[in-house]
Amino acid sequence: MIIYLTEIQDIHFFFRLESFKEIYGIIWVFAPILILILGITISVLAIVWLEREISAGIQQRIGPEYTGPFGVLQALADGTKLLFKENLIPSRGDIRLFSIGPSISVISIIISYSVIPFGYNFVLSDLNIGVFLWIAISSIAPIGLLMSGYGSNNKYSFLGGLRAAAQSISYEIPLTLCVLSISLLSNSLSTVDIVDAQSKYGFWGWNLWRQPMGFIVFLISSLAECERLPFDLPEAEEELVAGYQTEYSGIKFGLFYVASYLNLFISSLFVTVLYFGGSNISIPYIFVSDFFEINQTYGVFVTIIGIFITLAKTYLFLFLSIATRWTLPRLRIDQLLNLGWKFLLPISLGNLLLTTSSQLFSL
Amino acid sequence: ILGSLGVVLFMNPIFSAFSLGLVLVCISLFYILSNSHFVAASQLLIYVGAINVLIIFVVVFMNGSKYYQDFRLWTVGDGITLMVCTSIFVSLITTILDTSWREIIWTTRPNQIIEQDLISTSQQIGIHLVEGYVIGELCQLLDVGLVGYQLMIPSLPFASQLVNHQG
Repeated sequence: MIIYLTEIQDIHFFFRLESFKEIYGIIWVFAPILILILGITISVLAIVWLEREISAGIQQRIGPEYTGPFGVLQALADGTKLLFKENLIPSRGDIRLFSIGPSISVISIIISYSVIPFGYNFVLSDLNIGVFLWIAISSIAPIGLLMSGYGSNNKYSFLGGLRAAAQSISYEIPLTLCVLSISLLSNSLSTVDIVDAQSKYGFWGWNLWRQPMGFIVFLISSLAECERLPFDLPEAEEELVAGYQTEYSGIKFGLFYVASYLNLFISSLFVTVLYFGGSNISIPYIFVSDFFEINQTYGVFVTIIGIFITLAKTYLFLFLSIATRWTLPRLRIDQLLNLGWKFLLPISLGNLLLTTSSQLFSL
Repeated sequence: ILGSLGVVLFMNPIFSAFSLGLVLVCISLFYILSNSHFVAASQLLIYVGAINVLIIFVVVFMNGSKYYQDFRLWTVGDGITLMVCTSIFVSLITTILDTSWREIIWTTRPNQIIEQDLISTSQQIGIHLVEGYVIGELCQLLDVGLVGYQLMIPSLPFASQLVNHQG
């Protein structure tokens, strides 16, 4: 009896130990992903509030002020309202396409967050093809928009879906060529390597100074990818009601809303990473020694500084996008496609050729 | 495999096109399993993002789903095609099972040694080769985008007429 009991206890102890190891391993694998998703969610709430406040400032009126201090909880109130609204499904549309469309849009954007370096080597997964992966995954989103446009059985939704697909394909090519130029300068497609390549000379090492035309083309193309005014033709409130979103209500409409702000945030993050040095400290040489002393004492402090610097730079482009929305009129579809194919594409190709020739010359 | 069957068996061509997208995404996952991350991303960018969007773009202009309910589910052509595809599938499986993988593993080692030499001595040549490859892929993307552009502009009024007819 004693021998059996001892063996059973040993086996049980080892079993618990292994199961605890497995649980710990699983938690350790999923914890960064959950933290990242939580950060993304908070950033979406912040961007919604930010847009309300900035638009109110530009139009000289009062923004949200009743939900929480300074109206900070407005986005939560909006989300709760969308949750409680009824899910409508058009009678003669395709139910499956109608339901899957918003999911594809959101999923294809959230995956892109895994390659962004928020701090020095503070990245969820440092892939060798990080930037390329972002471009590849963002090119899947038009399929979701076409699904939504077709599945709604509405001519305005259909035209909105078609416009979304054409616009996304048109502006994806200049965007890709600009990214190619950056990867040529950095000799890598990894986002961490691109950030490291810009940290050699401090402020003047940013790719902004070596790729000014690429920077402008990238900004315009990313606005078009996000379907922000003046490039919101797929939505086009005065023309197509709300484009491919017309027939949606409740949480499905909320998913499109979330996808739009997620796309805006990730485009701003990539402008920061590709052209503005990522998480590098851009303080001049006088303060570098002091920061080095601080760096030696506090490791976590460095990470927090990196995240703060990245987000501060990202805020600049969020502000630009939001201000652009409330100052510029919408383009026509022919103007949109002319800009994409006749101007941005030749400029980005020329930029790529210049970069290639300068790289050969430097070799 | 389910996606492939979906491409073939769905009567509605729009569902077939979306199933094709599913197939292409699964092929990309195969490349990821083979540690070819760059090819996987290229697969997503070129085939899923550009070519499949083009196919969906074209198929969406066709008639509504009512038209296809009139067709028979099974015809003689379908039978012949099924026999051909099944025979090809079986021959593929037998070929895979009969191949001696040890010889292939033995032959890859000298290639790895050669690759290491190339990387150590002339890394820049490899970089330029990769860049040329990327530019070649982008040329394909340009062609697809131009075709989509040409298709879309004259088709918009036609699309509105189709939608009127459908509604």
